[in-house]
Amino acid sequence: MISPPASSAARIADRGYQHYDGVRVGSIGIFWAMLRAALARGLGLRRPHSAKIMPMLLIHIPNIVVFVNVANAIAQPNTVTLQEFWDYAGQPFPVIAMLFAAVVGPDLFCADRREHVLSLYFASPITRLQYAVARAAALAILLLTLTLLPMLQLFVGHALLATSAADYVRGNLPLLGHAVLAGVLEALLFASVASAVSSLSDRKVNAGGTFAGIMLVSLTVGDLIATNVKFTSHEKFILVDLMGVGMRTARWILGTTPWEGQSGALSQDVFAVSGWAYLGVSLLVTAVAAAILIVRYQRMRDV
Amino acid sequence: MVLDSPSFSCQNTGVIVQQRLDVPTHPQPQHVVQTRDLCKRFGQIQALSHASVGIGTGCTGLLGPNGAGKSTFIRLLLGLLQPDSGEAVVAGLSASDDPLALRAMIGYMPEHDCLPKDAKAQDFVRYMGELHGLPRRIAVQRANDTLYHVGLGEERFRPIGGFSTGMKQRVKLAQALVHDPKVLLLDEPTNGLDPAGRNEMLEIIQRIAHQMGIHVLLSSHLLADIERVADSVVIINAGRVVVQGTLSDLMTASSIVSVRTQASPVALARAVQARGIEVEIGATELQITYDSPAVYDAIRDAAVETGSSLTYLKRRVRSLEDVYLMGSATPAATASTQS
Repeated sequence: MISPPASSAARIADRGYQHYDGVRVGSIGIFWAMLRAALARGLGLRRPHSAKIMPMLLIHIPNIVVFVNVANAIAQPNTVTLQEFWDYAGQPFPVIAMLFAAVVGPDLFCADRREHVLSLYFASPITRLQYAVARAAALAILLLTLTLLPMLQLFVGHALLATSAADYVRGNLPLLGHAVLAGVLEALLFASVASAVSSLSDRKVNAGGTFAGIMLVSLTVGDLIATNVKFTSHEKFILVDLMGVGMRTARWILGTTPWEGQSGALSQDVFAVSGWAYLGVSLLVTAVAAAILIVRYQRMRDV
Repeated sequence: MVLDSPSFSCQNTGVIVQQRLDVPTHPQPQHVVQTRDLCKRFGQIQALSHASVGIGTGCTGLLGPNGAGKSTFIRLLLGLLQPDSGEAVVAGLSASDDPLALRAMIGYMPEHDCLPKDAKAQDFVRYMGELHGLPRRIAVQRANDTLYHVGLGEERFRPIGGFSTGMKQRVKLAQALVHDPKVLLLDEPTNGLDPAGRNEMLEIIQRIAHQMGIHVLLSSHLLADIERVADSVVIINAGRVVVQGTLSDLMTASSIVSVRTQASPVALARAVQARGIEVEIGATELQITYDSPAVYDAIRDAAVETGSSLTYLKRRVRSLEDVYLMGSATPAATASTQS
């Protein structure tokens, strides 16, 4: 049985095109919109399933490993030892961060150029600098889920295992600050280099392969020369290893020696390179890569 | 900054062509887009040369052959390119002084394919709204409305990669409209559309210009498209604005009166010329330059004087194609002599 209409006065009306005279957000609001969109794109949200697999997998691996470690240590405090911060900052987790940057970085930058979407974006009230910074910032924020979030889990785990969680937190606030600094620096290093490389090609495969290649070749060449070739100051070639620079800077900031746990693989001479040198190279590489990215987008024609 | 260009005219050859076309040279009452002496050079190529244009309300067609400088003109209006000299003002804002504020009130639909394949239509249009300053909630609402207005209400949650060319053109139009622009710049909006799709697109453009109250600058090389939807037209050739005016003025006004006689037309031609009127002697008829109704009197008097009996006399109604061809042909020589 069809029920009668609730009100005889009800009717469907086409309001037609409506002009908008309301509030418009300024450049900061637009930047946040760009950042939000880039974060969603990096994670593959509102995109086909194939776009979600790699970023989600890479983000979850270290976080689940650390979470399981924390849960186990809490459940069996006498048999399971909870990882230290500097242990997490060592291999193999930086390799996962590098892979994440190699996958997500090109996806954030290359597709827009390849599909000529930039001609639309740059016809809106944004600058090229804002666009490039928003994309690179999104990549850095996503990388923090690999370089910082697991360490925050470890901090919580250590606090829960301590006799007094409040005392642990109060007593280790500087360590938390160091963990944040180490995670941010490492994320910025990977994000800036991956963004700069991605700005040079509009093919994701080329950009991702080049970024991973730069990291792996620099690691091999740097370690090889610093360890096996003997000439004056040969040990400083360890600073060519971009993978190691990020990792060793993080370990040094977290309060251990940069080479801790690698003494078997590296020459003793390499130990002479100070943490300050790693930090300096890390900042220098980040700055140079950021400059390449900005110059590339400012000078880009025919977008 | 608002320009105070004194006349609705263009530089050099444009003035000549306008006089020949019997187009009024008085200023338009309200200019949405105004440029003064706009010049842009890319290396050795002068893409745009001293373009002074006043574009009024409604829909204006931007005509010109490939490489004429239409896209450069649009990019200069958007502030995406800096002019070498001159100035462009859109809706009262200078493209050079404040390009970001200007772009916030302009909608732009490029000619080429420029849509992300894996994004849903609604997501993309909403994002473009946000990039133009709409708050997120408003952007979602307006994206839905705008996609409905361009005929994609049902398909808005589908990825753009699976859309036909016509649907992609509609998405491009929707993203240009979503933030409620004051001026809409459409670059070849009917490109790649079948006749039915083209018809629908032109209907939408007509509705935007005449019902939604958004001023449209429609760049195209298809005369029929311009003729159908535009109120006025600007023709660019070899980087120069060669013709501009309202479509009705350009098409209905003619500068030629065609005359045929039973006998040889030479005597009649001389008699008309003796009255200070330009005459061109064709194979079968005389082409007499029309500048006022007094021309008819002069032809009558000349016919009486020479004893010619007229078999045909008609003022020719010009098509947009005539206007276009005249505009396209005229400046090339001038441009080459000046460059």
